[in-house]
Amino acid sequence: MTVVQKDFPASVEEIVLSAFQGKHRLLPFYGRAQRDRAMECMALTRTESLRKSCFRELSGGQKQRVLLARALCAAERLLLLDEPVTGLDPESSETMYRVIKDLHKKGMTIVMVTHDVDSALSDATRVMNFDQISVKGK
Amino acid sequence: MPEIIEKISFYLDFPFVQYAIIVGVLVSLCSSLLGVTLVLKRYSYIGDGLSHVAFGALAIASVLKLTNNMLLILPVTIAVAILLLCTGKNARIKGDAAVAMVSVGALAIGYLLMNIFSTSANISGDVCTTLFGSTSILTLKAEEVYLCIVLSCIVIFCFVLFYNKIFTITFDENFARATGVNTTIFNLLIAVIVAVIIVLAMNLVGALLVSALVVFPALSAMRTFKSFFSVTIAAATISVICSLIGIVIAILAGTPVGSTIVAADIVAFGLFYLIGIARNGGN
Repeated sequence: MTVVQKDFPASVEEIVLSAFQGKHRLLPFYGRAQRDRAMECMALTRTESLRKSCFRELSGGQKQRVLLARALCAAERLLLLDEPVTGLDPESSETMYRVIKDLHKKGMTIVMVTHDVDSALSDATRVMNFDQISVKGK
Repeated sequence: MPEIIEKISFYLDFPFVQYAIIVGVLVSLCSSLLGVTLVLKRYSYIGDGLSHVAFGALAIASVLKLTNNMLLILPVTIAVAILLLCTGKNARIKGDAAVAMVSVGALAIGYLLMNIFSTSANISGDVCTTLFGSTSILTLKAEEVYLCIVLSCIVIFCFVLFYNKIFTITFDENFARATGVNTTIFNLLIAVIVAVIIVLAMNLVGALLVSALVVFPALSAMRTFKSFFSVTIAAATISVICSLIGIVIAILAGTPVGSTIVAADIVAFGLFYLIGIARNGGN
């Protein structure tokens, strides 16, 4: 969350769609296919009901899921998440983990850095511990 | 009321009034479009800084006795805009400090040059006109109006074409770069457009009040609207309406054009502030 984003007037849909900017360099507007894909990503991250809401008025967990939806639009196979649940209340992090798990089931590779060791151990297929460099597989 | 309408239509027959209205609408439209981005990027004061640079360049141009001083003012202002907006986080002197330094520096040098190499008998009058744009919008020449129309059309065209890119870069520059947007080019483009708008707007409200055109419509719109698109449209509408009202009042009441427009913008901000409070239930 940057300073700019704190009072940025933007709807959730606008933010998720912005992920496509890198892909089409010249077209000024978004096409049907991209709008559909954005809806899909919002559904996957359980943010489709927030589509028209203002980003700055969302809760921390909702914001995090919107940014995940945006990342999902830009990524096809691999997501790198840096502490996705840090600063979230238990309920929001629960939802976040469920969303991440769903994505993983659909074939997305997830690489996640986290301090939340218990959840990491229960969900991850592989865990790297950087304290005494060790790798554990399931 | 009929008298006022009659008076307005009487004035509207004069070409200089028509010119003022055309330039006023275009400049306020352009400046409000970019205003939203600038306010969000914490560059609200860049309008002020750049217009002072333009004032400095104007002083140099008049010392050199250039026939078309735009040839000097525009490139100098664009160069400084690029310097301020594109150096980013790695610059030695950061955002607000750099703007402040350039702003007062250019103002001082400009006034100094005008004083030392004075070409007219009424220096303080000239300086006052450039700083407050007191009458210059009512003394526009036809070719200045054409130049303004062409530049404004280019600015509006660029903004519409790159609207989504500008949104993406303003919201999250790192993400934009990571997904393959060439952020350097677009930051450069934004800087050039801002410089062009500021130079145009100086004619309308003068160097000291340019910031108002950039900041007020954007802030008014951000009080009540929630998406980037609606804020942009609202800012443009507010800005154009305020400028029209300002110009008409200035002509009817004989007040200075620039400060009347800014006063209209302040009233609009007050209204939208209240609407915002009413909507959010006192939050």
